[in-house]
Amino acid sequence: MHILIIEDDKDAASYMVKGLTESGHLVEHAADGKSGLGQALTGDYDIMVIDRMLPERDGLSIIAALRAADITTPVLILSALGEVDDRVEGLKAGGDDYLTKPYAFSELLARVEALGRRSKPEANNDKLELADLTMDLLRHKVTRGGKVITLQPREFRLLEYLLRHAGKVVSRTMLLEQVWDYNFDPQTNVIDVHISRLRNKVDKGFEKNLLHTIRGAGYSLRETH
Amino acid sequence: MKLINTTVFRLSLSFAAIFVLIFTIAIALIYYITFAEIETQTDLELLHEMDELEIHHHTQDSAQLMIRVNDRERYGEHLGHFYALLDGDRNYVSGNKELALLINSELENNGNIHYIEKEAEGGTEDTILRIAHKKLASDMYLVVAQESNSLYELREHTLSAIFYSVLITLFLALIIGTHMGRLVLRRINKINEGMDQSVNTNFKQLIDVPETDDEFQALTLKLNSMLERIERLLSGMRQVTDNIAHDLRSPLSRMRSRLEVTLLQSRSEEEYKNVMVQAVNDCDELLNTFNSLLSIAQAEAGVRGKDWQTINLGDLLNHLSELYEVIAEEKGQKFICSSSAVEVVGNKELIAQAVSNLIENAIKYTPAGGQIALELDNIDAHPIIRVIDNGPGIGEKDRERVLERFQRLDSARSSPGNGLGLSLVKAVMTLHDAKLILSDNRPGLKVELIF
Repeated sequence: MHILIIEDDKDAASYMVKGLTESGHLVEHAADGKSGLGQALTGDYDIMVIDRMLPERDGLSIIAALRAADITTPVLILSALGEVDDRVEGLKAGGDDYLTKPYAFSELLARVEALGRRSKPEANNDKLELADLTMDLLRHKVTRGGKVITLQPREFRLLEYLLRHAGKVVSRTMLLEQVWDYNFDPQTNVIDVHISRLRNKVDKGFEKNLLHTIRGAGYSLRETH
Repeated sequence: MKLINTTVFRLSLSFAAIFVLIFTIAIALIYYITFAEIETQTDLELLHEMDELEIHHHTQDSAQLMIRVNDRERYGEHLGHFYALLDGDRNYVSGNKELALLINSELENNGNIHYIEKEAEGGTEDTILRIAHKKLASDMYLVVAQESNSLYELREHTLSAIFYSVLITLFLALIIGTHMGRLVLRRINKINEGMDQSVNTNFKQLIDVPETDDEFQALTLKLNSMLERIERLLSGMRQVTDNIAHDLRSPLSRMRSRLEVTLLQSRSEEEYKNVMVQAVNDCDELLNTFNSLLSIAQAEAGVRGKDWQTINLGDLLNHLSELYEVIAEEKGQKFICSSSAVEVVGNKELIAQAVSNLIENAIKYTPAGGQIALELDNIDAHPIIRVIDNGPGIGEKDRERVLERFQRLDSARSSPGNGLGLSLVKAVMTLHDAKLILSDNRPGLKVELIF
């Protein structure tokens, strides 16, 4: 993916550029709001990561300018302000996701990739598939290798989210946000337990495991490890 | 502080001034009315006498009048009545000669009533006369006078009464004002000294509360509660600093020494990788602690803002129990959730986090086979959330302490955690004006959130 990072903290930006480049993305960096907006308006990006507090021009006004210019590129807002109010404000201004500092790089990567995925239209909305796993969204039915898998409603939503982001890494926080709609970090391994239950239903008894744990980052639904 | 700058002193002076003004006006009014009344009486008497004599003059001749005037003069002198008769050329005819001389130049054809001062003769006081005269039909002037010294004395007495009263009032006001000002000043100074001492002892010492039940006592009590709060905040801050030093320093130094030792000699790629994974875990632990501290600070600094909404607590508890039920099951615990439709206005995010902290604690500390209950109640329009377990519980003496930041019971030190969970719950409850009550479930812990 072609990613634009607008971030004034040089060290943070260089790690971000390094990490995203090593993850196989093409990354460009702008160090202040003015040049960042210039690049964002002229370049063709799949996703932008914009810090809220920037010299010359703040992050939210950049997003507003982009949206006013009909540029709908997904934006991930980075911010040191973590209150719910700020999050709402950021999303209202036209941001697509919000990440509070300090954050783990794996979290950033997972969110960036999830956003990049979102920007592409989904081919088939009624059916999600991965290898021999099929989810019929209309009939609320999941099968693997022709065998029906019975899921609780929340397990269904969890698997749906993982399927929509198949091949990508999703973090525990993202799952908690997207599947359970909570914006806080639990102190216990609550998500792990839910995943292991889901794994029992989806992978147990099948030759190939689909639901993988990515150490230090989260989970991924994919065919190969 | 200077006495003149005290409110009491200024107040008593202005009260004195107002009092003097009102007093003066009242006395002047009384004086004026009395004076006018007496004067009218005198005048009526004078005119009456004159009329009587004039009637005689009409019925008899001038010689008779002369005799009558002389007679009256003779009998009336000791009563302060004086009479005189002058002819058309203003020459003395009969009666009081002095009076005739005195009035001579002031006689008018149509007559009038006025005051004349008769100068004293050898030691006696001046005499004030109220004099009436009239030109008679026979061109003679009839003069009737009444001594009016007492009237003038009344005026003088009144004036001096006013003067002395004003003087005394002002003097008293000054004395009372000074006294009261000093009294107030002394008490204020005591409070000031107490505050200074309190500040000097880092708010540990409070101001002595006066025994009298008055506004100073109320003020002192208020100030003391403020000082206590400052002290609590200060010691809280100190304690947090100490705890941060301890709780953040140990993972940091652990990470540092781990990295340092790894760098001592070259190692295999696998070894480096392991160390780095551990370092990332240490960092996560640190970030977690930081985030918890931030959440608490946000809850504590929070206000009822735009993120407040009506929350269906029943739904909230159901969602949370759905999230945590499986963990309790994994641990071999029984998880029961009984909820109903109860609503409360607040910050949904924070309340959810608070309740989840309580559930996590219950799951963490209750042994396998135990039971955790999540209840929702509504008593007297106060929604109550209860998280009840039958684990080891918290001893009565520790129930206050566990709410403080970074406080962990010795029995809990072996399990992971940062000692911030209950602090956040408390901060969230304080933000919502709600109560957090920890009690004994015999056995186990019962936590109640009463909104």
